[in-house]
Amino acid sequence: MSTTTINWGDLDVLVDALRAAHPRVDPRALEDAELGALVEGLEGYSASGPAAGPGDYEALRAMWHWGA
Amino acid sequence: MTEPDTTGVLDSVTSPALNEGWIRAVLFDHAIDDWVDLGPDPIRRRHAGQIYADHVGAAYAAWKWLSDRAGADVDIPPADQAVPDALALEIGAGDWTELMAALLTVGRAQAVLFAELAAGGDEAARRAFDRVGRDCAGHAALAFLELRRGTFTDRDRAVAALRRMVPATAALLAGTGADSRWSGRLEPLLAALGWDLTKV
Repeated sequence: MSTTTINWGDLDVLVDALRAAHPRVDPRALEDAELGALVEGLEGYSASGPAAGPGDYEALRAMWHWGA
Repeated sequence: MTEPDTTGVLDSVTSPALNEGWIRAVLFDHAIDDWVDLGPDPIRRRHAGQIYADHVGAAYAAWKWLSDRAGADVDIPPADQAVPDALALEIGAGDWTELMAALLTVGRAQAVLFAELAAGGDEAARRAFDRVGRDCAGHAALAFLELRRGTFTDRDRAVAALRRMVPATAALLAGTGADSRWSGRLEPLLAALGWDLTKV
């Protein structure tokens, strides 16, 4: 069974993984550091991928909440 | 009918967060009803409807909280009065770009103020404003995403709107103690968009 590598390079994949892992979390209530901790705790997350740039946390928060 | 006197329950944070001119405009004068037509495609029409509903909900929560504390009737509107510039700019958003610019700046300020009210008040305040604060924070996040993508927003018009909205919002927050939290969140996001806060 293959495991998808998750990193900040693909926010769509990241959002899908976060939704599956934390269905009851309201991302609007999370600070950037809290959001980052959830990302780093995802199965398949690779820290060797691109780092989160300015605005990536906010974009992730929006995509997660709004399905945008 | 006598208009409620809520002056005794307002302080430096509640006064801008629960501005009665804004409450009257949104809740009684239907001033943001046109927002529901601003979504440029089906999913954004859905977003616009949700944003509209959240704002009406925020105005109702604000007016109910004030009315309860003043022992007044929530169905009686506040006196007709001026709306602070920042909130007036948000209310007057005429298209998707302007609405996103307003939610990024003014809406974020409202998120900070309502969160302060929820955290610093009693249980009734927490119940009334915790969700409202999260709703506004969610609008601001969507606005950032929309402006970053730029698919349905116009960069030049967004910058033009921000030139008006950023200073107006700073003025709204002056004296609240929430201004640094607001600018600390907004400035890196504007920088990420390539829009230096000091230049807009």
